[in-house]
Amino acid sequence: MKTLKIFDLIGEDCVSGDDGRLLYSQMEPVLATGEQVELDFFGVDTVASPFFNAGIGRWLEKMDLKELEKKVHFSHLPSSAPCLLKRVFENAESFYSDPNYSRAVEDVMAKLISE
Amino acid sequence: MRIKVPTIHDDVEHFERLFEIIEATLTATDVFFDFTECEYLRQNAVATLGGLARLIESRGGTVVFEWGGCCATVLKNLKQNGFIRAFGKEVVVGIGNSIPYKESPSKDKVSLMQYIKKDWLERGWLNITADERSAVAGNAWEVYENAFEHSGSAVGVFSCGQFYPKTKELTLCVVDFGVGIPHNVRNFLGQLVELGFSVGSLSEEDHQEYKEVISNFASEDALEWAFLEGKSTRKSSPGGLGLKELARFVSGRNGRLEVYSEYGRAVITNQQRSFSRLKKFFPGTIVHISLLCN
Repeated sequence: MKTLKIFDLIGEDCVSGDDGRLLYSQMEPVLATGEQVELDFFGVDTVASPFFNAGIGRWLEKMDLKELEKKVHFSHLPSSAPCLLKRVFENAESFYSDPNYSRAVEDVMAKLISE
Repeated sequence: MRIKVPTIHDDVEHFERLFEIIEATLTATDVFFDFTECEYLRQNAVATLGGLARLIESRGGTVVFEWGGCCATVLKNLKQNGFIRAFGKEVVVGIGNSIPYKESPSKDKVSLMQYIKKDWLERGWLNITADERSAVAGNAWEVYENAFEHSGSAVGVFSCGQFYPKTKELTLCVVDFGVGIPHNVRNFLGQLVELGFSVGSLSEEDHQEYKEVISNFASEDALEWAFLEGKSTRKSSPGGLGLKELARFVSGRNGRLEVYSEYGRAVITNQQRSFSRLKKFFPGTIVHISLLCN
């Protein structure tokens, strides 16, 4: 298993979409070989959803959550991260299962037209 | 053009006073701000007036803040939060209970995270654990990420905050002069409707009806849509958790999150979740966070 030290890669604040895209690009060659990857957050203070969306959530376009959980492992996550990651996964699963967001349109139209 | 800046607090009527000033200066090139009738300016006024000044300057105009006749309280506050220094007059004072006025022309993560943590959260006012501080810093960052990624503000983002010892209220106001959240929501839904029509899943009749409905989507309804779970205006990757996460945190701590954009106003507390229409238009987005430091 390959370990990516997130603090060395990004620093103590892993918050932006740019940070997430950097992480994604580092994970890509590892996962492409079939190797598992450990994301070690030791030293990371702050995480935010743009980072997780772009770095982790985007993988759900290529694999389902069960497969992702087998291939990507997390260590030393900041305490706020698990809850945030859960929402990011839910959000990403919804996004990729409905890529045209047809339900979003239908929901809002149904509401507006009925008013 | 001479603008007499009134006293501006951070309730809705006072936000609308600010929006009146913006409306009055929409096409102005040379603006003199006169503070002789102003008895107090809260953080929302400081961030918004600073941004407005930079917006006027970006159009080739000039802005003069006339400090003569400004009352001592306002002057002291504007010195402490650095507003006067930002507009060319060097003063040396402590920052008091202010979270300094900050101009962010671009997304500088290091500088903004330092502002969020050191200038806002780590001043000893907010009784939270290191883990909570880290969580709220991440949520606050998303306000800036959204502003830089989605607003298209030509002059960047403006921030200011204040701690009020009597009420134990800690505030932060983040302002951009971009396209606004409702515009992005309409744009996003409009593109989806066009996509639906182009692949044949919408009839011509529905296509026309939906287009009309979207173009009339009121600011306050569009804001409400943006706060719904699972809704985002991003098209190529998942997103849209920022405001919702922030709202969860702020309301969970008996705080208050307000968003002003176009004619829309959102207020989220632990007892209230309201979306209403303003009398005045704001050309951009203001996120106003108020936390109780009990």
